[in-house]
Amino acid sequence: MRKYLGLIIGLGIIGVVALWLMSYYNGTITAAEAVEKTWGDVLVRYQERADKTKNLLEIVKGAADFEQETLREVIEARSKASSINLTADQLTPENLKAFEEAQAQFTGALSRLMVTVERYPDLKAVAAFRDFQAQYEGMENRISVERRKFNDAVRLYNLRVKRFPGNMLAGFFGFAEKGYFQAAEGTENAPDITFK
Amino acid sequence: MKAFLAAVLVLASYVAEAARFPCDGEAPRKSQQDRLLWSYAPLLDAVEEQRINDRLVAFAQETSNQVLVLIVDTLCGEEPSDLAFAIGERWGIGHKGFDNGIVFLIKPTGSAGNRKVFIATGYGLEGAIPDATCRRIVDNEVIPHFKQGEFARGIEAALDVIFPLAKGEFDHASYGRRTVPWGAVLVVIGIVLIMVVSWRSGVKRYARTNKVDFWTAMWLLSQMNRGHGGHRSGGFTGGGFRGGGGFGGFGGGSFGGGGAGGSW
Repeated sequence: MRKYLGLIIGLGIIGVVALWLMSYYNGTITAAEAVEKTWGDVLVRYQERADKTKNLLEIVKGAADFEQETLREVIEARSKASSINLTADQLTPENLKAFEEAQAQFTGALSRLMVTVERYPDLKAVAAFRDFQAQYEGMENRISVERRKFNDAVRLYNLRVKRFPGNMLAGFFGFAEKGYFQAAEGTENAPDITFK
Repeated sequence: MKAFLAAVLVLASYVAEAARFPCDGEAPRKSQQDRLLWSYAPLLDAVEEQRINDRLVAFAQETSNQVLVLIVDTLCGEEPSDLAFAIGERWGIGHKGFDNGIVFLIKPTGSAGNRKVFIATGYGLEGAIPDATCRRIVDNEVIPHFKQGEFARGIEAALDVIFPLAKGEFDHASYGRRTVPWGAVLVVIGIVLIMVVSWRSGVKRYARTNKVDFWTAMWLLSQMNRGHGGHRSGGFTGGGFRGGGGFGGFGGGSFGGGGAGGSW
């Protein structure tokens, strides 16, 4: 019996380590899937905005005397934002920053356009424009909610990848840190976010 | 006298402190989730609070839709919309998978124009109560009354519109049908099986020791129970899985940014 004691202890340790590896791996995969899902939701909301803005731009183009500069800005920002496509496995902090900057530019240009329209009563009276206006605030709200949920999911995932002892294994399994959305989009002075 | 006044002041400040809306985002403990009107600012009197809460709880029991009326003294530095979504999500208003919750947020403190209201709809109610409808409820029902200082009437006028719309989307029948708690059913079946098996072996043992056959033993045992037990049970008591009294606590509903608000 004594002869096998070392062997039994050794096997026991290997077993415990294997179990730990397994639970770390599975837990991180689950967290990564949550990031993937919430990223999908974020993209859906941004896409929705891009689609609906297309109709808006058609209406505004129809108004002959509209400020061309404001309109041009929105068109450019929109096409730039639409040109950056990130899949869930490309969510490095750098990629996400570029994505966010493009979208923020679009958000800003669009909100300026919405303010400018206030000076064009004819345009405001168009039914299709009023439809868009009614949906505009909700569109931005939905984007901000999905961004928040995405950030929550990334936080959980990054904790597993960056915190000891998980950080020693993350490289081995190929788990890379993912990026967050930084700014509260559309607000110039970001409020204290208590609800992390 | 001075000491007494100081004590009163300390106590008063303590009470005021305790009543402030906590910006930590934590949901109330499950045991405290027994009401749907949460007030952190003096807006309604006790009778009005009771009446509105009773309506909300009755509606939740009847239709499974959970409408939370939340009166706060601070927006925690957030937009009213963001606070309403965050509370709805964190507290889990509405039921998981159905997301049939509504957060009716009111911040009555501050100067004119900074007093805010927002009605946030859970994912599941975005169709029944679109953003434009929320806006109309706020503009036509809530704000006019609030401007007159008729807060209870403003809230109830909104509920009069919200309830039928939400009920059209989810009523209790459809909710109950789709969420049979199979886990609980299995546990109950298991317990009944164990009871039957142990009771049967008890009868067998009795039959063996008293040298009578199985059916006689069963009859004798049942007579004995009746003798000293009186009525053992009155059959199944009602209540089902939803529990009596309250509405069963918040249900884990989710919010995606639907709704609209205003200010007065």
